[in-house]
Amino acid sequence: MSQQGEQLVKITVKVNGRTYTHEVPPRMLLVHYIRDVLGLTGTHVGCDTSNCGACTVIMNGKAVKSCTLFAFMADGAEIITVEGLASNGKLHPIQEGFRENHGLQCGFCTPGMIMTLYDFLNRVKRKPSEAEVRRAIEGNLCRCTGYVNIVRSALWAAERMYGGGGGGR
Amino acid sequence: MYSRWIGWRYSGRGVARLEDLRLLRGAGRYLDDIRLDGMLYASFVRSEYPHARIKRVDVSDALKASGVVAALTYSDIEGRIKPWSFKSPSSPMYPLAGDRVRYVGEPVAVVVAEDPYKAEDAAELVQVDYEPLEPVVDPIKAMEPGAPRVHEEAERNIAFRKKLSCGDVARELARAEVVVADRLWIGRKYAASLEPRGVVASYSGGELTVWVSTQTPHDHRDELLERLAKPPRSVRVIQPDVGGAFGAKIEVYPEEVVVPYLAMLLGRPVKWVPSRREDAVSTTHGRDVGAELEVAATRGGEIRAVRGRIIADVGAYPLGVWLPLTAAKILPGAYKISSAEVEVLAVYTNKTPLAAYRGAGRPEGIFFIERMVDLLADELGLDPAEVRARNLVTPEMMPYENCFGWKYDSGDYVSTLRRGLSLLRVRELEEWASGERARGRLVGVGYAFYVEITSGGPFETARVTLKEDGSVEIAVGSTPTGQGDATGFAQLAADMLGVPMESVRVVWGDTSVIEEGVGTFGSRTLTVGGGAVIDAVSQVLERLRSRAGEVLGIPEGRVAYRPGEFYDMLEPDRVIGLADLVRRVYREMGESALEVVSAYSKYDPKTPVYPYGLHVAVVEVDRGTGRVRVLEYRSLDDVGRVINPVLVEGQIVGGVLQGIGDALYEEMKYGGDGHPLTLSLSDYGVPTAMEAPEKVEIHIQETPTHHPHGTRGVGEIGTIAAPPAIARAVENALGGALRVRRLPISPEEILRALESAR
Repeated sequence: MSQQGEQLVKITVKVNGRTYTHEVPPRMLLVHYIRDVLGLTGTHVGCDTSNCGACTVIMNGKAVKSCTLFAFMADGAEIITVEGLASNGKLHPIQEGFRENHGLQCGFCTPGMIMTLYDFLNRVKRKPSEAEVRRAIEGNLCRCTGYVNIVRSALWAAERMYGGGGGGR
Repeated sequence: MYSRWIGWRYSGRGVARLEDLRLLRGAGRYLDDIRLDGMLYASFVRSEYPHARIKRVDVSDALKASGVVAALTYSDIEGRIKPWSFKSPSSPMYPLAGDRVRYVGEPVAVVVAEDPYKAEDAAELVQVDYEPLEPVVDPIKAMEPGAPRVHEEAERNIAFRKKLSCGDVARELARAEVVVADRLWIGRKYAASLEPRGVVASYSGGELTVWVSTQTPHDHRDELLERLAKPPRSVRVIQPDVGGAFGAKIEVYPEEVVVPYLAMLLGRPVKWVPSRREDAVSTTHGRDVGAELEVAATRGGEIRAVRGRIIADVGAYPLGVWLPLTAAKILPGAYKISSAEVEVLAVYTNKTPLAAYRGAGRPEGIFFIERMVDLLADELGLDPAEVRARNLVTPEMMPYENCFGWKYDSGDYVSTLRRGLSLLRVRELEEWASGERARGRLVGVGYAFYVEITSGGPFETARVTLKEDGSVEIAVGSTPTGQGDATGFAQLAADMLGVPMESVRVVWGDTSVIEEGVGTFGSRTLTVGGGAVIDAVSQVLERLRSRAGEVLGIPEGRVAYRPGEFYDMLEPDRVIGLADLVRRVYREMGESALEVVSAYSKYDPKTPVYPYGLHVAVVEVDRGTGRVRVLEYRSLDDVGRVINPVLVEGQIVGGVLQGIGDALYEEMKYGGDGHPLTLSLSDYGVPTAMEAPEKVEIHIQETPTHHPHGTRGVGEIGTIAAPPAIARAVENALGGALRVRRLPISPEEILRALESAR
């Protein structure tokens, strides 16, 4: 998306363990950098007003809505997208949770939802309560599932990650 | 009948979806994920006025902007793209507005640039001189003599009008022991699929390839052939992964014709993906239908007649004039109403055109009748369940033709109501709520009994091919947009063929892969599309059966089948496996093997099928804010035979939350000046996880239908049944302080009601 005569900003970003250096226009949104420059189209744009969370990625260990950041703001940052979750072809427990619990229908919100839960479950480090999961995903919209199975998926994943005990209901 | 094997292994079980793995890894391919070499980006300039004359459109500054390749207005496409004309009195709808705009968001010009940012920049440089005209905003006032007109052709702004009547309404009203009357309305909705609309087009060698986020690729192909006057077979439409549709991706939109035209004109691929705001204002809206009704009954609560009118605000163009008609046809609901007279009206206003949104007319009709039944029960001081029971169509009346001509295929409504009341523990809930209310909590319970029409025609297609390697490929003309129907199709085929599900591949959404198809809408995919799959599999098996006879050296009449093998019915140990037989056919016939191992079906569902059931909502009203939360939701639905309970439950639960949105949170609001006010997802009110009920209990009843797999449609139940149940629950919570007449129920209205009840 560079154009002659336009001032570009050089950024270096580590995404899913790989380091990239690019010159980008200052106004380029991070989500467009991830999708259009890096070709990682698992991160989606659902609203461009930070309401829906479909663009959620992990930046420096925290879930962020990548449509509300400029790409240059990620200079020096470490980013994880949905494509970086599975390891050695094996799904992350959260991905597996969604598969086991019918946590997705159209799948458009799913990557953002998963990244938000990745951040949340990594922070709480235990099995959360249902109410905690609901609060955690409040900023991620899903229009298909009614959220019930997403909550189930998260609890299933938490159990896989941290064992049964914890918050309970 | 090979379909008798459906259910021996996969069907009826909640097997995991075939669709998921790709989507979970972020490897889905949605419209915006498509990138082609040399691709250009379109940005549309849209009307900022609800109603105005266009005096001049000047694209000269836009053309000078960096990266801009083209900028087109109406004069550039006139005579090149055929506008839409309608049966209703209306001016044509132009892909880019001509001399007049009729709603905020109507496309006026388009700019094409090397990158999407520059396209958007340049679109802002297009200058449009408007002469504002008085907007038509209120559909009731729109019908007054002297009101300004949206279309000169439409007197009193009426786009469609029809009177439905049956029985002797005048006599029944005259001798009625009681008549209740009310005015009801469901506000305007926006489907708000998480993925907006969008289109990519590429043109080379006279062939136009169009990717579009749609529910109806075949219809898109036919529309493009017509709008662009292309020769047959020169257009291919591909439906990529679709991030939700809900009826709003059925129509063929102006942008979806302009962008392909641009690709042809410029000889380079062109993409258009709207911003959320743009999607909200340019994608068809739903509901916005009201009713004025009188119900005549006996003191015992027996409904004798219904009279009134149903009015839809169809916005600026007559795409959705059928919606109030559907609402009227389902208005008799599950009840034996033999006299009714309903005037159906579709009225133009200067708003985004109305079209299908999940339920499309049935949520409106069922909301109206269920509200009126509750009102009647209150008027008579009777139990609403008892009033329903007295009026329900009884099993011996099935198939039952309702008095506006819709024929309910089967079902036992009376025992389903009784069973539902006990299974869903409605009385206990009511007792609990009344106890809580006595302690000061504003909690309430409400329920609704619905019937709805699903699985319409005219047909659906499938091509089933058994491959030499033992795998099965199924191409379908229906076009799932997230429901998981591919898994359902694979379950049906795997059962019939006796192969593992993993060896079945289901493809759809490409007019070059399957020539004909209708699409995914109206809760038809697994029922009608599944019928086509079953028919095609049966055809293949039937052809192979005669082959099996040759191989086994017995007359065809002696060849029997069980999943995966044919055998001699007199000597059941003499067997030829399906896979062996298929390999043999390929070996012997080479290329022409497909004549045996591949079959195509164009399945005619003949008549629609009608799910029905009881839905119960428990709500709590916040006394301070007037906000309502649904605490708990329970349902009993007869959806016919279930192919995959997990998918069925997913459809019901997801639909219920949209129904909760309909009832309590979602409305596409317009100001009195005709400007839309709710163009972001937060303003519009899509429910979050915090609005979802904490407890959901779904029960299924499986009365088979006439389809070979016995199913009914399930996709729209939630949005149909939830709103009237919630409306009643809110009334119950407020102890009669509010009569719910309009959805969504606003917190302001609730606070006012609480205030005046004090």
